[in-house]
Amino acid sequence: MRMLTKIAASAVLLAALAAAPAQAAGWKPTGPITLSVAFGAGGITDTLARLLADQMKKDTGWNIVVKNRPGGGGVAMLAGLSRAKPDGLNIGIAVNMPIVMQLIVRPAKIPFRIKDFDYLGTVVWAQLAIIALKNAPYSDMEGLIAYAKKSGKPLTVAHDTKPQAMIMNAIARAAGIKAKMVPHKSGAEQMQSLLGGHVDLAFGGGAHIPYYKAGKITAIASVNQRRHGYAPDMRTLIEQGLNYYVDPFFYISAPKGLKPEARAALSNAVKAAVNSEKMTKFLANTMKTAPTDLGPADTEKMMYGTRKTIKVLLESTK
Amino acid sequence: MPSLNRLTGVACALAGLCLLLVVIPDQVEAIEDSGVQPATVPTAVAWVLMVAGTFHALFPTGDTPLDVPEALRAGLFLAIVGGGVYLMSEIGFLYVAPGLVLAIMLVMGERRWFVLWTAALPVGIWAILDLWLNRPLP
Amino acid sequence: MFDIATVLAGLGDAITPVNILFVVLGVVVGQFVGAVPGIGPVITIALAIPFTFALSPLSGIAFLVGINKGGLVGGAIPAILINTPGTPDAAATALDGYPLARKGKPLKAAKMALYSSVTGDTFSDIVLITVSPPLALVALMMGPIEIVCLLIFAFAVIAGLIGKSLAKGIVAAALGLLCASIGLDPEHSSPRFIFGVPDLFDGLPIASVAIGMLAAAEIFRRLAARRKKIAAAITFDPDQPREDRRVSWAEYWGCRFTIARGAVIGTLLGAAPGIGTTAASFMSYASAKQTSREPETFGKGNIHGIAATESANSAVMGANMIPMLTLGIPGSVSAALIIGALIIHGIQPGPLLFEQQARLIYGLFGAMIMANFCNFWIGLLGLRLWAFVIRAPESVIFSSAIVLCIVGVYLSTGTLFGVVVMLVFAAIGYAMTSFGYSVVIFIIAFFLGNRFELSLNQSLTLIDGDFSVMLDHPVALALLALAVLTAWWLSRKRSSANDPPT
Repeated sequence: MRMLTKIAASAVLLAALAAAPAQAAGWKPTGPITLSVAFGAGGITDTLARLLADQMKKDTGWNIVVKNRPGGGGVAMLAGLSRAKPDGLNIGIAVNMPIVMQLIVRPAKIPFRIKDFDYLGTVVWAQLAIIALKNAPYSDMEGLIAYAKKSGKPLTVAHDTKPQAMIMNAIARAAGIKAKMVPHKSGAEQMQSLLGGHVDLAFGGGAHIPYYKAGKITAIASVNQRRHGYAPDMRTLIEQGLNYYVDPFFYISAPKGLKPEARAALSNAVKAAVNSEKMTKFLANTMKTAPTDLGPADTEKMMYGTRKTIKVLLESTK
Repeated sequence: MPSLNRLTGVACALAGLCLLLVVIPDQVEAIEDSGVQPATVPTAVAWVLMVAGTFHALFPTGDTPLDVPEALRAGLFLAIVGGGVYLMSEIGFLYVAPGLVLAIMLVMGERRWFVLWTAALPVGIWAILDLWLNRPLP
Repeated sequence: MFDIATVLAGLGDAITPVNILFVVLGVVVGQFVGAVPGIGPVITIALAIPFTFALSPLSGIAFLVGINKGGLVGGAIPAILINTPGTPDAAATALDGYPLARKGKPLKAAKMALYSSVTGDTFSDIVLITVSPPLALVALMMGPIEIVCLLIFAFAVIAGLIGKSLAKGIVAAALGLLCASIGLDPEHSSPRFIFGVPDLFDGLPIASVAIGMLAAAEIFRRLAARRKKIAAAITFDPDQPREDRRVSWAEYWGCRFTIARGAVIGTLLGAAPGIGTTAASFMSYASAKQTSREPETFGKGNIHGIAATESANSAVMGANMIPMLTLGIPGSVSAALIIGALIIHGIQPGPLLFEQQARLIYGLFGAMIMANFCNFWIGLLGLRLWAFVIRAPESVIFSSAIVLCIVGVYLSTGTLFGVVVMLVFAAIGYAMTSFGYSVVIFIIAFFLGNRFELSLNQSLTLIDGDFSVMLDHPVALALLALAVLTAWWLSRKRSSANDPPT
């Protein structure tokens, strides 16, 4: 499985490398390009952005400066980016979920909309799973729901973002079981609560993988649209008959109004850097997955799709 | 004439009242959901401020080591630095920071020649961060 | 798991010229940035991570750990010399270190800080190396309910630092909690007190508040001080007797219980993630003061105060690695950054780490011990440098310090907004001190406020109105009992101290 993705990645890489210089020749930046990062120094997004910038610099010869602009899960960075000139010298990297969530829940407080940006591509999607301790009396959603109905006791569920809580609430409501949502600050803290037996279920965004490999936890469902590479037998929620998912994407955008040739050059440079060997290795180490660039058109579709997904979730928990 | 110490208690109590009646309703959302309301901790803080502030106004303890002339001078330096930060956002760190250091030292009353050397420090910081570490300053 | 050949091979890996070089480099950089006001080890690690890509995993991580350890030692230097803690962990060091320096004994204060720091650090490293698996269980035992009770206990101990006025201390704590509540609330992620500023979604930047209140406020005070002539920031007689510039063995040995208690507090709080170095150092300081036979000398240059703080905050770091390596749970921001760096190097902290990467881990342990030695020697050498720097005129020291604060906050927060927040809190800190409200109490409440609110929300959700659940949490009940006991003991001490002498 891993081998296959590797081969696929290198094939894409070769194709991209062959294509990139030819198309990039059509447009040249008039100065240094600023890549704004929606989170602070030292985090995964920061490192991702710096790798990306390094690789783009190497491939194209453009000067790219990385700037951190943390605040509101990306709201602060995108607010600034939406006001910048669409000259191709300002691009930003963010994660779709927190942004779209804020746009839906409190639009009046957010100074931009999805349509205010030109989308250039994505870097990777984050895997998210529902997990339980190995000795739990269930190993999939069906068993979980049956158990919860039989015991009559509410399930305690750790989560660290609102959409995670919404998914679990939606499932509980649909299945007629009770669930208590216990907020956490990070995936690592969720693992701590799960391993210590303080909650029944948790959401794993990567921190759970070593525990899965060590046989200490059961992977109950993939919350994404696809299954995960490290646990190919774990079915998605959708496959288990529960029609909910979230797909957190790291994506790159620019202010609306880029010239078509600039947009093409930038998105090609992004594609080549995303599929580079360095990035592939980095993502295999950190997120246990392969790079995924949707390309400009599908990235935009993904953003509107995310909006639809969250709206559906909100409806089903009302 | 009530003492300054007493007045700080009154100010705290009023701040708590203002928090409770104006700021919290305006700046904290009420959630129609089970669980702990976002306003729980701020409301508790507001009540504590009112009770402790009133208590302090009635039975003041401790002291107020306020030195008015010093505070005014500190305000002046704060204004200088604040102005410097504003200029940094407009013009950039490299051009403003040496001037800021010079201005502070001159207002302090320093007139010796080495003030010029100190102004080189921000340039050094800028060189390390911007040129070497690739972390641009404003 | 405990394979002696692997242990030796790992330690051998650590002692290569390249690794020694990077440990030394890390400690030097860490001590330097720790000692410079405004720029701390956390932001330095964040900036240094991309550079470790080019190194081997062991050299890279050893470098980062060296920065971290060096930073804790370095942070005490400005706290002692100019009353502006380089890191918030050193805030309690300033309480006694600065008065001692003002008495003309800055070298004695700095050396006491260095010795107790290295002692505490070494103690917690030994705990890490020998008994981390059982201690990792402590981290797992600490669920939300236990954390709430632990925080209540910590508050009870630290309440001993509330000075003459109880009401003012409570107001300061309430204000700290209020500032901590700015930003998204922990349960519903609904924004509070953001006044339309998206920068406030994530709350007030911790670096801005800490540096503003602890360092910048003091810098403004010193800039504004009325003076006839601009002199050196601190003066001491270069020909002073030897016993005023060193810590004698008898003095060090006299602090052995204080240091040991600090090391144990630091190690325990480090092993239970989420409380942090600042709370540990204040808890250690408060308990040293409360159990002292002469509590009135604290705050006036008692070396026990320095020893308590520095041994505790350094002990947290080693112990922080216990949940970090065995469970992948970071206990602090710098631990989170180091986990990130490990993962980037393809090393996944967690249950399989000791099996799959035992050699690397023992290499890392070797590097940590080496870093402690380096900290000691470089610390002693560095003191000569700082003793020289501090002879510069105040005008130079404080104008440079404020620029460094601006740079440090800008790097940490990524925006000039963060710098503005720092200036606002410098003003608030200045005002609070001027009106006799404790900045220290405010900072502790601010630092622990978020964790307290989150854990309280979690606990209330789990308890769900049925408080008999508490009976399943003996650790929590024990901590609560300790908190009540401490509060009762403190109030008794308080009332007996207030009684007029007969």
